Amino acid sequence: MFGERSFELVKDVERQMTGCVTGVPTYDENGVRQVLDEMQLLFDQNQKDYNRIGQKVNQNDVTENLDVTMNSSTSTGAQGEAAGVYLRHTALERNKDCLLAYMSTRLERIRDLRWIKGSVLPEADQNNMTEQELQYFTDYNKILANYMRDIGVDGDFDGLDLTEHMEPPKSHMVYFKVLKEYGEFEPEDGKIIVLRKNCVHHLPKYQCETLIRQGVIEILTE
Amino acid sequence: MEISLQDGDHVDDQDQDNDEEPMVLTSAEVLLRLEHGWMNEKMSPDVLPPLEQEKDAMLGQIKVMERNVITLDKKDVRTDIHKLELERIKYIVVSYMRTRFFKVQRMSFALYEAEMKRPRGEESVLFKEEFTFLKNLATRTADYLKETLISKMPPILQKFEIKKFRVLPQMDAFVFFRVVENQTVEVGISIDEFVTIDLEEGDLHFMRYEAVSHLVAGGAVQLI
Repeated sequence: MFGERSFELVKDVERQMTGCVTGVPTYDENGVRQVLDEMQLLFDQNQKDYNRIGQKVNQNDVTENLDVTMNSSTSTGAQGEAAGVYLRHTALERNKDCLLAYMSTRLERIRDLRWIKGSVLPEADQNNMTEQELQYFTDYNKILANYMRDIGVDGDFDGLDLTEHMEPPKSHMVYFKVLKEYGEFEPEDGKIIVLRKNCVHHLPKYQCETLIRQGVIEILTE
Repeated sequence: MEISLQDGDHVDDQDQDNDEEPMVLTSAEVLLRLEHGWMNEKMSPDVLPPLEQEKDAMLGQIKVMERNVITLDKKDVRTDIHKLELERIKYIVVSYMRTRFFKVQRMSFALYEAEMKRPRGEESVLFKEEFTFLKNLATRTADYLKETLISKMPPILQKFEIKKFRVLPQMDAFVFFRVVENQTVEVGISIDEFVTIDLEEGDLHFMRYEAVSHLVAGGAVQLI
């Protein structure tokens, strides 16, 4: 059946996305190629039929327009072929839609990852992405950074980091525990602190959010 | 709120509904307007007209307050309260922008199309910087799809159709709201049947967003 493989692809990506909400699934290179191959096949077949209709229609002195052929009852053979062409064309359109849906869903998740995991992706996710997708991620990063820098620039305000202040603040300062070796971290006041495993520090909440997302620290008290 | 805004700075703010004379609002009033706008934005399925003046005024205020807070005595217990209040205000501004940002990102192609078709003179629903972002994102995404997919398809299908990516706001989503000014709305209950509902000040209602969407931006109803 035409379009079966592409539908499979869409169902797969849907399943994978709901199954894993914080990562990107492996790119199904095989699946995408098979659908593209099927499209090529359908297209070639259509070209052939179309030319044949053209010849028949020419014999009957009717214009080459496909719609006219469909409506003309003079050439029954051409009518059958025209129906085939329409069917294949619909299958082609459907395959295209499915592939676009597959790709866009992945892009959507890749954009989300920027918000979940920050600007540097873990290797596990990188391995599941194609080279172009990695490039897209980098570019998205840039576009986002430019946007955040532009906010309020007319009002003499130098940008707003939308990835901070994710939760409404309950207290200004928080205690947090360091979960893994990180090294030097520079808070806004410029006094560098060294984050060692199992150490407890005290900092303004909003400055910790990136570290929390990266899984480096854990909040102890609110 | 008074704590962080104790100086009572007056911020010039042009009232959108009143073109004749600029209205002067205190910072506390601007913040209140932004808070209402933020709640509306959070609850509405559509992107609302931007609160340009309120946002800029508040960002300016934050800057002033940040400068002030550094000079305060660190041992004074009030300093911490000041700081927390500042954090809260920042949270509202950031959250307001972020809520809009995600809507813009999700509906990027549809909004881009609408912006392109927008007649001259009509106000945009986007901040300037949001439009720049939108343009860059839509272009990059379209390029990606063309490069990886569309160019590999048979020639007749090699067209990027923006209409296939048109994500529109869900206008028939239900919303809770409080009525600020008396109103009457017509609500469609089937294809050709309408009922008229009186909205009285202070009432709480729960209905489809499309019925009240035109009242939200003007401030006649407050989404909650």
